[in-house]
Amino acid sequence: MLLEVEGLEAHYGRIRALAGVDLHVAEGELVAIVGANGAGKTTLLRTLSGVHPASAGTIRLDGRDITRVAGPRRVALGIAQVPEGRQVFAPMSVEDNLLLGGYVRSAAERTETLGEVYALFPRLRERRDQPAGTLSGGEQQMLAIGRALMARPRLLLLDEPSMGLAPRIVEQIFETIGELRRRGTTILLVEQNAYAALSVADRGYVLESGRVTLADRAGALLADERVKAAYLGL
Amino acid sequence: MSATFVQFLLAGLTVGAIYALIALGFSLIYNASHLINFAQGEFVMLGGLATVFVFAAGVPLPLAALLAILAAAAVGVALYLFGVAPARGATAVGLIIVTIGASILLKGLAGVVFDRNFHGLPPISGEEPLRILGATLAPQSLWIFGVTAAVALALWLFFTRTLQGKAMLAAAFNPLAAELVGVDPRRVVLVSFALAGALGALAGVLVTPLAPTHFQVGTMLGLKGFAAAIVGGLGSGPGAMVGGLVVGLAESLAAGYLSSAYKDAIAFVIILLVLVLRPSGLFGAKTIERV
Repeated sequence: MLLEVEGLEAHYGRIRALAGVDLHVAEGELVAIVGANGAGKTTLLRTLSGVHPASAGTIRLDGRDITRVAGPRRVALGIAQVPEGRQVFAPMSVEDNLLLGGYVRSAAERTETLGEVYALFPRLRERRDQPAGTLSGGEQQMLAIGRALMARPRLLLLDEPSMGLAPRIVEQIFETIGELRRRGTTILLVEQNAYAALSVADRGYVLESGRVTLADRAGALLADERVKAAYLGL
Repeated sequence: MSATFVQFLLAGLTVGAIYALIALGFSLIYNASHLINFAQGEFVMLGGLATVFVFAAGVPLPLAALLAILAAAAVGVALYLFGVAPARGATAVGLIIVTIGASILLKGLAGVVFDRNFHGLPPISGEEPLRILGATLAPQSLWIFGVTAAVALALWLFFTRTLQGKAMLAAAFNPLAAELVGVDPRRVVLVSFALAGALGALAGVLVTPLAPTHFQVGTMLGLKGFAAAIVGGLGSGPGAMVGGLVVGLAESLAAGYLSSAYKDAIAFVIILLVLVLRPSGLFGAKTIERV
């Protein structure tokens, strides 16, 4: 199992944002985590990336306990995250943003992966010298995904990739996510847009108040009456 | 141009280059941690005094200077590890008070470890002044211009051409995103404190042959460097350079044409003018944002 999470808890001060989360992601899978605002989705990804401390539970990557490994080290171990709101380095060029994505890799690996990312997102190659802050929202999302891919992740964490984007762009982003999945990238996707996320995913988890309340094949979740009522607006 | 004017100009540029080096230290630390390090002047004092005492102990001058610069870099690292890092989460004012405390501590220690007298250093290339348009220029000034320019160029190359330098900038722009690509933000701040210590000490080594040093010399030099950083726009490298020269020239011209009694007041008048008229400084951060 690539990622195994058991009883994971995280706090903001006295507020418990994660109340014992159990989940797993197998190599090559695309797993979606859906839930309402404030359910703990972003906290979960922040804790997996090590930029927010776990207060209880374990995170294992390939069987190795990484719960206490510092965030920057986890990137080298293979966990890369596309953060909520894209968070590109706005004043820096597109290419510098991408190269920094490969900060933990060797120069040779960076050059090679840069070519692959440009092949996946030709638009970024066209704009390589432009400051990242001048890109459109959709382009910035592509840049944020490309930057994470530059780390050659074994597990890619995507936090709300559709947030604040026009429907046409959201469609493109989900096509890209499907393409990454076909190429064998293991993905853990967090989305409020439950329908789009479960449509591309293999499996899904429903997160409520910091707990997993449903876990099933994505297709089964899409058909589940409770999910339909709560998250799909049906 | 009258010879006196040229003389004031050369003196202003010399001292301005020193202020620029100090201002670069302020900007490096500000960029990495949004902290204004009021102990920056003490690095200048340490650089000068340590060189004086190691040189007097029989170590050749270049080696003594190098040791002093490394020692100041180590003091910078210690200031971060034992002063700033434990206060993580404190308010901006709280952190400023930490650096003011460190400044008082370093001054006190220097007064005990070294002594309380004035000390000079021999100039690097002798004392025979050069004649330029009727004015005289100490060869040490040429060293100051050359070294300051070389340092500015090296820093510029570091921050625009190397991945390490870009990673430091990235951590300043967006610490969370930098951490998510594997850049350790604590290490970035640590390196900035070390660099700021080294730059301050370098300024101290260069200026001591022209202006004798003393355990309390860091207070005023630090404030002048701070004025330069504010004029240029805190956090801007080119701003620190231009700000240093502006403050140096203004001070030298005011001392020459008004009264030397106003020399030290000029820097503060400039700070006030900049804060009132253009708070972001000449090269203040222009942010590009599109949502």
